[in-house]
Order: sequence, then C-alpha cells, then structure tokens
Amino acid sequence: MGTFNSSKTFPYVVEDLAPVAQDVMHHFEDQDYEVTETNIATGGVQVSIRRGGTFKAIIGMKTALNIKIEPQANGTRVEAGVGIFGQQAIPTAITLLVFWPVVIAQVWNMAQEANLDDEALDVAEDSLKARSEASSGATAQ
Amino acid sequence: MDRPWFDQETGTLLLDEYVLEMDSYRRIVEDDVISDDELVEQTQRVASLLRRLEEALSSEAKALATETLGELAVLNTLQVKRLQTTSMLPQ
Repeated sequence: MGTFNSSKTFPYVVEDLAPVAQDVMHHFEDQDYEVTETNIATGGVQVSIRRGGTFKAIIGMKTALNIKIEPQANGTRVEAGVGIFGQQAIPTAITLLVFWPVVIAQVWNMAQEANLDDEALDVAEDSLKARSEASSGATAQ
Repeated sequence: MDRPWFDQETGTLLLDEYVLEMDSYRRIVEDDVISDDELVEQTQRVASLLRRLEEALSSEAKALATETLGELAVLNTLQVKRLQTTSMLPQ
C-alpha cells in the first residue's frame, strides 16, 4: 500500500484488460457511481469512479477513485488511489496548491471508510480470475 | 473573507478554492510567468498580513496560529521535496 493508494498484484494473466475494466465499471455504475475509463500507455486501463459527497471538485476538476489495471510479467497489478476523474495524472496546477495534500488525504480517508479501495480490488480480482480461467479453458479446447 | 474553512457536508478543506478566487493569485498565474516584481510584491503582502495577524490575535490564538503556520510550512516543504523527486519541479 502506498501513501494514498491500495494495490495488489494478482496471479492472473488476461490478454485483453478492457472487459475487466468494463466489469469494474458496471459494478460501480450499478451503485450510481459516475464512471469512465482511460487507456494507459503500458497497455492497461484506468477506471475512474466518483459520486458526490465523497469526491469533491478541486479547481472545477472532479476528484475520483482511479483504479489502474495494468499487465505485469506474471499477473496483473490493480491499484486504487485518489486522482482526477478520467485523467491519469494530477495536473501540476493542482499539486502546487498548498492545501492539496490535505484535501487528497481527506478524500482518500472517505474512500477508505467506505471500503471503496478494497471493493475495487475485489471486483477486479474476481473479474481477472474469471476471465483468466475462461481464456485458459478456451485455449485447452 | 469570513467563510468556512471546511465543507460542511464532506469536511474537506476549502482554502485552496478560495486561493483560486484571490486577485493576487489570478493576477500572478494569468500569464504563467512569475516576474521578480510579482514575487517581491507577494512576499511583502504576506509579511504585512502576518504582522497584522500577530497584532490581532490573543495570546492563545497566536500560539495556535504559530503552530498551524509552522506545520503548514513543514507540509509545504515535504510537498516541494516530493515534487522535486518526481521531476515535476526544477531541482
């Protein structure tokens, strides 16, 4: 676990991570979260989720729980952390604000109290496992 | 400027939002260039406000403000150091 993020590497290899991202998105969409996905240059996918009350806007930019799903050598790494909705990096203009670290810590605490980070990791793990098994089953046939 | 520091609904700090609305901030970031004059002007503004604050505060409030400003400065240093190590700021 990092400063304001939770991460796990799961021993499942899935060639196409887009359906896994879709599973994570649908899971939270069903709970009335606003969701979006972004492709990562490393071949992974980032899912952003937010809902008013927990994730506030800063400089008009929406904070969100960003869930990165990235391929690793022998598995898939999933990381959930606070960021900006639909953006991979937090804009420098925001990170330079004096109170930004306080705000990000507060948003992260709220996300953790709602167990959102664990929930995101669990959903991603279930999807990775299912799709990894389906893929190896299809290969075996 | 008598506005709440924390969002009543979420408890999150609102001060950065107020910073963005300040004329001094807007003027300085407007052209993305920070001149020597602007930097000097802002340091003078801060020094003047700190002097007024020191005179206005009770002994107890001053102790709290001193601790708060000190811890804020520590946080700012940590943040600058971290940004430097991630190459977002010049070393």
